[in-house]
Amino acid sequence: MPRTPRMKVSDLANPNRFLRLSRWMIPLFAVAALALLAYGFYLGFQAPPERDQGYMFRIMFVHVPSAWLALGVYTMMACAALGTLVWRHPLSDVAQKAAAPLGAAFALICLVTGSIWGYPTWGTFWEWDGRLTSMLVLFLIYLGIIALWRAFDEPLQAAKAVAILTLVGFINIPIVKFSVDWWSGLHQKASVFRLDGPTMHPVYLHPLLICALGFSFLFGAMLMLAMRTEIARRRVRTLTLFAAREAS
Amino acid sequence: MAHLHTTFIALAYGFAGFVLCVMLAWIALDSRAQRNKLADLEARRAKK
Repeated sequence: MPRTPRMKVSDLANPNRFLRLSRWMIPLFAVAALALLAYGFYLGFQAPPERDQGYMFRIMFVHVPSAWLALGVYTMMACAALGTLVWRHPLSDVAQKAAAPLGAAFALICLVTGSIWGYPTWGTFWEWDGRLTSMLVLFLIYLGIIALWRAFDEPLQAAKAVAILTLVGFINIPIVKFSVDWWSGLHQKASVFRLDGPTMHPVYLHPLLICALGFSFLFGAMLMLAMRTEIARRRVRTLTLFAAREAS
Repeated sequence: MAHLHTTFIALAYGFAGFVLCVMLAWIALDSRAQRNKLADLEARRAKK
């Protein structure tokens, strides 16, 4: 009896298989993102006003998931950078290039919504405290990575340079995470990811986690679409070079 | 005070929505442009 070939996890990283899988995963992720965000915002807006901040806590449902994603996307890019440098995986640098503008967008949303939240809460839009400054540095690193991609004509050369910069920049991720513990400033300390468990009341925590999951699915859908575009761009480049070689 | 809070909350959500919509539009337009280019190049190769 013929045996069905078993699929390995590494097979998913095959570019052609990725193109086939992502075709149906993108709409699935997009629908999941919309449903989770709608439910998360609904629950969040039903929650009672917070003791100190009144209704200003509602900004948390966009600010905090954006901050988590800005850090998470960079961590994913650092793993992809290892994939590029160590295993020379064909999809690693595609994923890195596609993820950088998305990470920058989430870092920007985090910075701006944090400023908007900070003004009525702290009395200022900006303060050079550890968390705010390290998040700004993360946003600038994202911009540096995007600029470096554009500085090279050859994608493989760019991938190596970007991978090195990404790994060097990874030093900033624990600084962002632990800045509120290392330095005192205006930003509050961690209230969700703590060794002794979350200190946030479930009435705010549950919608926050649902929104974070929704934003993650949205990121997943956008990343897969951007990766498909990058694969198409590289095929266009290869075919253009072939055409130019044939013509000469 | 509540009115002021609503303004700040609307500003934060509006900005986040705007950035995400710009990103989505940029990715979708870029995707369509690359697919068109690829289809055009493949059609030209098939003709030869």
